[in-house]
Amino acid sequence: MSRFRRRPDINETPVENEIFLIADNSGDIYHLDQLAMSIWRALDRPSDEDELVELFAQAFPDTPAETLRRDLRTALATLKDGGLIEVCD
Amino acid sequence: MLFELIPDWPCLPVDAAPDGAPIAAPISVTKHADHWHISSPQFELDEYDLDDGYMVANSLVGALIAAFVAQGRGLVSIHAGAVEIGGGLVLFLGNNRSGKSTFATVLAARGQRFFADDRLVLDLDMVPPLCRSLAIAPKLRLPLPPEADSPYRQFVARNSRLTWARMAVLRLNSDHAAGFGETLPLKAIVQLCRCDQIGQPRLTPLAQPAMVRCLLEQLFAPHLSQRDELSACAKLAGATDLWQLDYASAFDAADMVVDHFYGDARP
Repeated sequence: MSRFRRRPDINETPVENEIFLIADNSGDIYHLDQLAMSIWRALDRPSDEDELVELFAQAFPDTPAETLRRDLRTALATLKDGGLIEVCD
Repeated sequence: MLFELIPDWPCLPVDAAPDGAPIAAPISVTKHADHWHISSPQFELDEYDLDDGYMVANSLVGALIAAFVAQGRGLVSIHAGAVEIGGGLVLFLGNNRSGKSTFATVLAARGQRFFADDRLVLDLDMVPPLCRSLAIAPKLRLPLPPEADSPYRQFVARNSRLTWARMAVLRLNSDHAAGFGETLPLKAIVQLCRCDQIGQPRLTPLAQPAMVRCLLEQLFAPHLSQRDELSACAKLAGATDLWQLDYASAFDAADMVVDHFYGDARP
């Protein structure tokens, strides 16, 4: 399973308890929603989808695993399409 | 046309510049056979039809502002309406047609000192940020909104300098408007959200991240990198009170806004 990591050329600007990211190569600015921000923080250490599902299941024990996996998959794809994270192996 | 928009800007011959320094990257306006062209060191400008003098002049003002803020550390310009309320400046931000000009001029007609309906300069190195009037003539879409009250219509009629079918440019005297270069500390920023369906106008606190998103769309500082723009927006949002105004009509919301920002100090 693919592991994801933060791209190294992304600059992070915290504003209150939220995060704005800037991609150095494009200059595009992204404001992360709560889920994307949680994933970004979790990818402080490279992780694959299963590891993220396990981590988020601890934080949201009442949410079915399949719902978590679907939401995480969508958010990971958005972060990857935006060039904010990359596959590292 | 240019000097109708910026009647108070000081204009000096190049060799009379205060410091005598040569102009390194001048802005030029060239009239070609079928269009105007403006070149600016800060950003690319479009070409303009020969008969669209207002757009040429307005774009040239933008180029001049960009050149000015590029000279000073901490300077940015922003698209906003602004009026003085209780000794500080309240900025009104919003997208095109959100009502910045109407709001600022309605407040001016009701006695608040006008600073801007579209653009002003901020010094972010000052605490609180210092706002500088550019004394750009306010412009209004015509016809005025149906709910415009009689005092406002009279105010517009009395102060109209140029009038076209769809727009009027006003000239406000020093009783109503700040002069070129006049400064005031920033007191609050209000994001304007106009919605015809809303009942009573509502002023609610706005979180910093939401205001940063709004500021990113309204900041005009082409000399800054995207990263520095974000940093400037975050700094600005963190330096003052932030509000969102949901309203249907500036004529209904103006008094509530003035009362709110005066607090108990309204004369």
